[in-house]
Amino acid sequence: MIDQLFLSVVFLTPGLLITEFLKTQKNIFLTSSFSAFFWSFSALVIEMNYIINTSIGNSIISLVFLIWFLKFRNYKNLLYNLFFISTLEILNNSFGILHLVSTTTNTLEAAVQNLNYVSSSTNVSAVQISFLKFFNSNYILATLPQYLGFSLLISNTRSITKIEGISKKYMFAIVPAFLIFCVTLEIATIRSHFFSSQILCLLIIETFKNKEKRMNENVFFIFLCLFLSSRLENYYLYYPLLILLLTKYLHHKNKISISLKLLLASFLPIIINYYSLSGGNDLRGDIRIAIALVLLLNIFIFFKNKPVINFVVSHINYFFTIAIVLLAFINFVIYDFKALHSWMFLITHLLDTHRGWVIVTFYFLILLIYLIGFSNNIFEKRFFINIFLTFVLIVISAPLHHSVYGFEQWSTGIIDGMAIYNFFDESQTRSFLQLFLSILPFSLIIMNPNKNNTEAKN
Amino acid sequence: MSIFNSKIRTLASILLVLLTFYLTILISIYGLSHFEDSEVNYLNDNFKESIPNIFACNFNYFSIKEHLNKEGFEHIRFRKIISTDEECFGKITYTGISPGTKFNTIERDEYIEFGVKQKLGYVLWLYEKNFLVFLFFFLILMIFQIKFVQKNFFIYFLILIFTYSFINFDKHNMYINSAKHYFPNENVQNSSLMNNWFYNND
Repeated sequence: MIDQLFLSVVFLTPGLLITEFLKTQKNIFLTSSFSAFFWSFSALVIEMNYIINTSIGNSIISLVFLIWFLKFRNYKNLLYNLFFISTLEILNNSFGILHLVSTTTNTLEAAVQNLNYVSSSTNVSAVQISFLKFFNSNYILATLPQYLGFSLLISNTRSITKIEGISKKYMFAIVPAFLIFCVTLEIATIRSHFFSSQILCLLIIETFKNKEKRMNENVFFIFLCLFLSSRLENYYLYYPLLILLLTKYLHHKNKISISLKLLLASFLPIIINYYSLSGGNDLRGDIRIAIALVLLLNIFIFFKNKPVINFVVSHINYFFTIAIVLLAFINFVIYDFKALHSWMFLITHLLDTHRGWVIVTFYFLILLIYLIGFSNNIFEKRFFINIFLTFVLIVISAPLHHSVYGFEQWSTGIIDGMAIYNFFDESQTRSFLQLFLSILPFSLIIMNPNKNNTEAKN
Repeated sequence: MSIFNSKIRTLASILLVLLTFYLTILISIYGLSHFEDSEVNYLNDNFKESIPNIFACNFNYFSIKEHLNKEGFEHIRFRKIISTDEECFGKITYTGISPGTKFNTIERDEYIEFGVKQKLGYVLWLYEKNFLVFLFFFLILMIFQIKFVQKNFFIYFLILIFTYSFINFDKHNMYINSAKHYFPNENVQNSSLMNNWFYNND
């Protein structure tokens, strides 16, 4: 217990300090995310790992914690976070609530490499590596991904209830999603999909809010940085969505300082994930593409008031659709009938009843229909259509993934006798779950009894 | 009619048409004859309380499920396999237990595996009774939402999803190739996690 509490304090201390600097002490659910943001740097700045695994480092962090404790006295923040993480740890120690997969081994290997002051080129994001760094000879904190994800989920649903002015009891509307077995199973893994989904949700909520009600813009940029560094594929899958979000969020902001902050927030993840982006066999392992995309994003946002950019943003879903069709065509030209097999395998997976996959697919579609129906303005409608197109992109891009990880099973093109539960489908289906979880808290908008049709019309 | 209503109606109608179209294709591929009792009765008469003799896609997924369901086995798994042989779509292709094995010699919690063949892209909904019930209510709710567009039916969709997921949670809580459960799992407790990793990497 002492080891667990000490490791929790080591993990939380940077977050507790950051909340004081950013003046977000009241939102105790964000503290853990700030900690994750801080510790993600330890994949790049290897020396930071001294703080975790040496007695001198431990003494330094204990001292910092003591200073925070005496100076700021935000006990509620500390107690909630310690209570939540301890509860999850106790649950795991009593019942075993985690689902360990091969990625866990890769992540733990990368974490151990870092703790041995060696950089790791494993194709895993820095945020995910930091999930398994907090251990000593007696104990390992194993439930950090769940703790981070659920903390942000609570924060997001609370934000929505506040904005919509609805009772907190409506938060139960998201419960059915967690009874779908494939959703539970994904959340129980030591991967960053769930956490990443809730970061995106927070960014969306902040963008949808009135300017006066938004959090400090530095918080937004930290979460943008965290979102891009939490999953390596986020650059690719969410690119159009980020253009939409950022043009809206920064609509009236033309200062150079804002552009510099955006540049920093979008480039920092590439630096943080430098080693991960340099390894791996797929598109995600090509750092040049990531740099080009980020550069383009910044140019796009910098010139957001130019008529050409305005035109592109206001027709972004048309351009996105054309790009998806083009990608499908290119995939078909390169991989021929195997591309078709890839798409069909993915559709089979998503529509099959095993682990409730078909239920989550239906849930996603129904949720989107209602969210588009409930959109208050053209931006929201455009945004939710963009979410649907991102789903299509996940399916269409499948051959790019399968051609790398499908090995002989995929390259021979022989499908007779293959089980539908293909391991090479898993990444795509996980991305789909991440997308689903990103919009899940918005079901509260649909539940809002105060929302009438007139309001929706406006 | 408000914009809100027309948007919901249009999108729900599109989804309904697509679902109906997909169901029609499934019916044309797999047919509905498996709902007739003839094969189930044949299995009961000829393989009473025993594993049937499975060869050359002679029994369909639905009948074998019905045949086994009455026995209360806890760990039956049907592995779905892609096939291009039209004769075998929706048919059982192998069993993990020797044909002819009497049910009373099999433990209730023993892992029993069957293979079932399907066409790529076309799932086996028509053989799965629980899901068909879900789908029926789902379609009904969609029709209601389209028809009575002033009323918000989202809560009923949530109740339906909750009910189906709750009922099936335990059934899904099993690995594909063994009787082992995902949760609870003592091998993932913190101490085991570290011990296993260091043991494997020593």
